[in-house]
Amino acid sequence: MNSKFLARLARRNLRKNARSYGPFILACVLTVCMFFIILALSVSPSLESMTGATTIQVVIRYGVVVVGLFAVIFIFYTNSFLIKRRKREFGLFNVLGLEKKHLARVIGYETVYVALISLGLGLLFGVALTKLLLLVVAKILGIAPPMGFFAGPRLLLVVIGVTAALFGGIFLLIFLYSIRQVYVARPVELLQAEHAGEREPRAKWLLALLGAGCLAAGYYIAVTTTDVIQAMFLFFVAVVLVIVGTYLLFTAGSIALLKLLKKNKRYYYKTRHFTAVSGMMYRMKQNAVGLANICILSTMVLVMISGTSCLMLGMDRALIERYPYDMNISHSDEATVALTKRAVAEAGIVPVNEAEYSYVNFAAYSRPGGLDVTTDYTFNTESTLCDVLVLDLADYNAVTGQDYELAPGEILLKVERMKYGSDTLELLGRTYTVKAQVEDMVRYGLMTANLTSTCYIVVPDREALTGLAAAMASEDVRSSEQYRVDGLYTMQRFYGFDVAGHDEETALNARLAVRAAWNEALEDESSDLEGTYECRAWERQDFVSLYGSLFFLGMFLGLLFTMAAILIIYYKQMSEGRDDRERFQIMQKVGMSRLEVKRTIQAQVLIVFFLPLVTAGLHTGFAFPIINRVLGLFNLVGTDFYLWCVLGSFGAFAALYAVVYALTARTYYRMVSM
Amino acid sequence: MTILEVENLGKIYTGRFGASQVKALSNVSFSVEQGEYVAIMGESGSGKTTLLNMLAAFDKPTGGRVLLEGRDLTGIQENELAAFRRDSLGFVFQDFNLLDTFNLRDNIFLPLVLAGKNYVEMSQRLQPIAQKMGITDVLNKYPYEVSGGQKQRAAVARAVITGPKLLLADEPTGALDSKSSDGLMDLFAQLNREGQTILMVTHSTKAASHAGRVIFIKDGELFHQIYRGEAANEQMYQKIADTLTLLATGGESHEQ
Repeated sequence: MNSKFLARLARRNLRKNARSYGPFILACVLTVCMFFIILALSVSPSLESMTGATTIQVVIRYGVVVVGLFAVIFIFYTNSFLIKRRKREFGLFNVLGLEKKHLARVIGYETVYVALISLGLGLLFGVALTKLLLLVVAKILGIAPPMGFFAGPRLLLVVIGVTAALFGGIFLLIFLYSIRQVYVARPVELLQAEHAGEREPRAKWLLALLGAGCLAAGYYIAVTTTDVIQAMFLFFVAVVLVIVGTYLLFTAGSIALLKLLKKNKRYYYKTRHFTAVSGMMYRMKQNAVGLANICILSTMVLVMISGTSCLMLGMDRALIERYPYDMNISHSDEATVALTKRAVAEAGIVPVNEAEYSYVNFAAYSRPGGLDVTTDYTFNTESTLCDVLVLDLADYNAVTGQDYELAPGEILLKVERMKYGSDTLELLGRTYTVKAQVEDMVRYGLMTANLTSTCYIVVPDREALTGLAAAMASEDVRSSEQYRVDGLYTMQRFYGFDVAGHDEETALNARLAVRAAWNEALEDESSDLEGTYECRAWERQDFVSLYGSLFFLGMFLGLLFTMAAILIIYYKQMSEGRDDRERFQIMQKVGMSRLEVKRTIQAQVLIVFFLPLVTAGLHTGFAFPIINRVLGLFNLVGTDFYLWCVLGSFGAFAALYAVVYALTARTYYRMVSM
Repeated sequence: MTILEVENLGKIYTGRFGASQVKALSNVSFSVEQGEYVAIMGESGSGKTTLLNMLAAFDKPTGGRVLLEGRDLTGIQENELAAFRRDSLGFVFQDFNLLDTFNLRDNIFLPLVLAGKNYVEMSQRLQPIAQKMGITDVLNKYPYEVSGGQKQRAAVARAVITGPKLLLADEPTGALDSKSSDGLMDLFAQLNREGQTILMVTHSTKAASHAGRVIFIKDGELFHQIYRGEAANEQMYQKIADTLTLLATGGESHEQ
């Protein structure tokens, strides 16, 4: 047969099926474009030269893999959906005398056209937008935008080549799948394919219960896990449980519920419920998996966008929590303070807002009436692990500007993320009287940014403090059955200061000065200098490149997944419209008014559309506590802040979703009432 | 008592932009008495279905009017129409028009549920009808699980369960084999004996031979009608066959 004719037939088919192929091609173009961009960013030399680029490129390369995998699954899935709808058309061609090999060639031409358009436009937009995205990344990371184009011509060709190869492969794959569909079927089957399987689904109670169990278990883990390290691991367990639960509940659970409603005759035989229940039953049978896909995709989008935007927007807050001063210095030797101060002064930097205090820092188990210092971490429900910082009254009053007085044996107390109710506190065999629980406290990054409970104790004088450190170090305590302390807990001195106006450059210079002075001191063999210096401005660069790239990737993937969810919904509604048309025509013939028909359609479309969104919202809500804790690992504390991020993301997503609903519903009514 | 009056009914379909006009029905008048069993016959394209659509108020005539128990169908508002159709008319279609999402019982209940009846009343009404139709055993099955004859009998049950004034049937035997067709026609005859007024559009001479009167339509106009009188089904069949021959050879109608 004339290949020119077959090619023309292929073009005509695409035009005739524009309503279904249009969105498909659009989605392919976008996927190609996004893959190209993220691949280009991952190898771009201009990004490589930016500060903190290693972290960014590691994160973005991870993104390349995700987008690539997504492209394969998404395009294949959408195509199989389109082919299923066209079986009848193929059957007709077959009956009209087009052999299967001709049909295969027509499909081949169609695939080539779709591939050419997708790759052509996708690469075009990709090349055009990459520079823009590069500027966006630079802006997010707060660094100077790179000069020139993102890559030289050779690298550009490589990126284009890889993109073309991946998508060429995908299109070859969908072509093979499509012709297989045509080859295995007989013409009569092809003609009838769409009407097969109109069987009422059976209620699978066991699966429904299993689904409910999975979901409940996932939710339970998400809500109850308080241990952060466990949360990291359990989060994935919870995610898997919730995904499995969602699929089972959408497929088996929905039908079991509808069956239950149907059994209740007084409920079922009401004008409003009658058509809705049976209609929903068939809808769920055909669309449960699709709806579950939408739900999972939406949840992923919500979690990703809310999480990464929370990290990004909350970064400066987290930095201040973790690094309370522009420079934070801790060391075991008080003499080093003098050394540090001298170095800073020599560099011409005037420290402001200085704070200095000695402290002992250790972990302990809190119980009613006291703290147990032990490294015997046997699980004990009665007590909570907490981080303890002990300092003396003189330093406390000096730093906080308070005017407390303490008698021997008295202490001031401040606890965070826990409650302490007793008036006395037992520590290492001594019982102290709690004079007051105070609000103001010295700032110590490792404590304020901590995720576990924290406990500050102010003892009356330096003697008490050194006594405590000595007690911790004493053989008696260390070898006793009760305490079992590992390691030495020596007294440390903290020195923190800000630079004028928190100027970054000055802060970085201060860091350099301190580093030089310390290095010099270390060259002296006899020196036992041991300590840390942390500069907020310096650490910020790490934070920015990590959070910034996560944020970028979150937004990027969020956009991609949103597009996928929207396309799936659109196709679902379109394919349903055709079945529903017949049904509603019959109902009108036996006495249902147009208004009732419209209302019924509206109710069903609304449920189908918003069920995934509501479920996604519910998932996100239950994921909130665990994600909040995992975010804590990134030094991010502040539940209210994350809550706003979640609500913001959900609001934006729901608004976009509603717009798609309005557009789809309109097309749908037109189809049904035609 | 006259239940249905059709007066000078006409229907002209106008093509898009008024370019072409097709006269589907013109000047059709007849009436149906309470308890009558009327068949309407004619070739494809003669206007049978157009007429039926007009009687069922699926379509509005361009001329004349239809009165059901003296009430003008063309004057009924769109929002009342569904209720009117549900309460006063019963429909049986060639392709059954059963909903594949409902089992037979629920398909039959559909008009009652739409009318807001409760379950107990619906069940009470269904029982004798299902028995008469011989579908009591398959009420819980779905349309795809039963034979064509059973589907059509379920459709008849759905049409009569509301106790309609008029049962309208459009080629009810069109998709059935001859045995099922005979069964269905016996059922229609039984319903008619019990007082149900029936108006049936059909192609089949055999189906029409069960009716008390046959109206012939040709090219959108009333061509002829014959009454059964005392004739048996076989004689009626012969009369219809003769008329159809006359119709096909283009002769003019003389007998009245």
